[in-house]
Amino acid sequence: MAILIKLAIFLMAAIPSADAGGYWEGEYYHNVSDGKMLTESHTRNLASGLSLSAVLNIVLNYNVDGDAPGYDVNFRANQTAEEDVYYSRLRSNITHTLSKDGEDPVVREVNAESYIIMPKKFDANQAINVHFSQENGSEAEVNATFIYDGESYEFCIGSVINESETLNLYLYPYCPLLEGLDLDYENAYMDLAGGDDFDYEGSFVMQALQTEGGR
Amino acid sequence: MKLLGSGRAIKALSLLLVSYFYVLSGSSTVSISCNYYNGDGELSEDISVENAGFEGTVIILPYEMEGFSIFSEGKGQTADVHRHSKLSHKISATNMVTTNELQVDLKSLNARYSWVNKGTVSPDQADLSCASQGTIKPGDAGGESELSEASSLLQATSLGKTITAESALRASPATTAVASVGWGLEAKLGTHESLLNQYTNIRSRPGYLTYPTSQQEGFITTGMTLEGQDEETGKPLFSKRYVPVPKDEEHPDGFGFPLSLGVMKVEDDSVYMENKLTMTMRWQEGDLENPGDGE
Repeated sequence: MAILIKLAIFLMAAIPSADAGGYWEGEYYHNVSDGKMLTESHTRNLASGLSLSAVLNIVLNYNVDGDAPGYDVNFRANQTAEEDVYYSRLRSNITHTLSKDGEDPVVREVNAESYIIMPKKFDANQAINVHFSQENGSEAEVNATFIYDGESYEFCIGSVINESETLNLYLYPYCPLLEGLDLDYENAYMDLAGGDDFDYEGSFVMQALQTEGGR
Repeated sequence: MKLLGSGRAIKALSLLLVSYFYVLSGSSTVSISCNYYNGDGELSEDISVENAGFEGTVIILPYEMEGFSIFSEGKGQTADVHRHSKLSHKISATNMVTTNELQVDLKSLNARYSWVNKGTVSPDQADLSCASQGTIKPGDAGGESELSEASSLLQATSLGKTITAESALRASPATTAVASVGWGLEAKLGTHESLLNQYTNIRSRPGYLTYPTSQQEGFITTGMTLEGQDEETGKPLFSKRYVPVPKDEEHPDGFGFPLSLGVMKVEDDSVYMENKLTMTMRWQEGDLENPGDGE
């Protein structure tokens, strides 16, 4: 029997306008009848700094071991992207629950973080780290498409999870045709504390910079 | 530490300018312990170097000529980039009113590092200061930079408070993608206001970018903490501070503590990343019963 996917999507809880600074949150529920494959896809707007038309498409394909029927796969993803696309950040916390009749459910948790650095001329870099807390022998594939002013740039990479159950995926798209993006990027937070007789300030700042004479 | 005799008597005995210089290098371990004192205060240093060079200068002035009464500066660097190397430097300063202790530990395998520590006692028991700064750089192009570690601890007691600042950094393979790591910390303890600063700055080589990663095996791991206690009661003055902030319910989008950085090659060889971690604390005489913890 072909794969039956009862797909209930509780999706897009909140999608602010594209220029509000890149934010996406959604929840998926997948019910896969034979437990062989789970396919999930979503489209997320990358907002400020890049372009209102900028879209990042990521497709994740997971091949789950085991061919016994009756699996229920619950897939939940919560992703947020920080507002500056020069250093955009995605985070996924995914829980798979594989249930077989008469057996205890198997829960796998996947934590994925994605970072996108886009210095000048869209010299974009995306690093995706996926950690599978349980089980080996799974595969993951990431396809990413950047669309900028009508031009589409696609990237795809896949890898088998190694013995440490850790998968590193790095995408190095390079799009020299894209212009107009300033290099300087700063991502900072401040941690402030004060009292009657003391003041504290802590900060962490990341900056993308360019050497003199750089393009 | 204990000062010998009254301030006036010792001052009379130290009417000579004392300045000396020593240099150590080689492939063995050398340890040095020194105390310098006069009527204004005392400086103590414990230095241990292994396959590293070190040199120091101490000046003891009985007069208020240079704005200090005792000044000590020590600096060291790897002697052979291809060898295992360690540096440890502890400096303590007291003026009978307050104390300032600074501990710096460095070790590396095929990496270059250098550092400078300073300690100062000012006249008339006014101010104390300790400071340390340094850099770690990868080994030469022909070698693999296997490991560099740096840690520092600064504990200062002033104006009824004991402040402890710690930082640690570990860089393991592929640090050749990192141009340099700089760190520094300083404490200036006064009779009315005191200040403590610490920072870490990690810069990638042009053509490489760093990024925070949740992987345990990040190329670079670093973080800083700061704690404060009431000198008399030992009670915390505020919740322990971290840079970066740990991930928790209050900071779900934090980068986590410690910070783990990965490194990636990019097409554009003119771009690079800087990661700066800073902490600053300033405190004054005040109501110690209600220090608060405003966030």
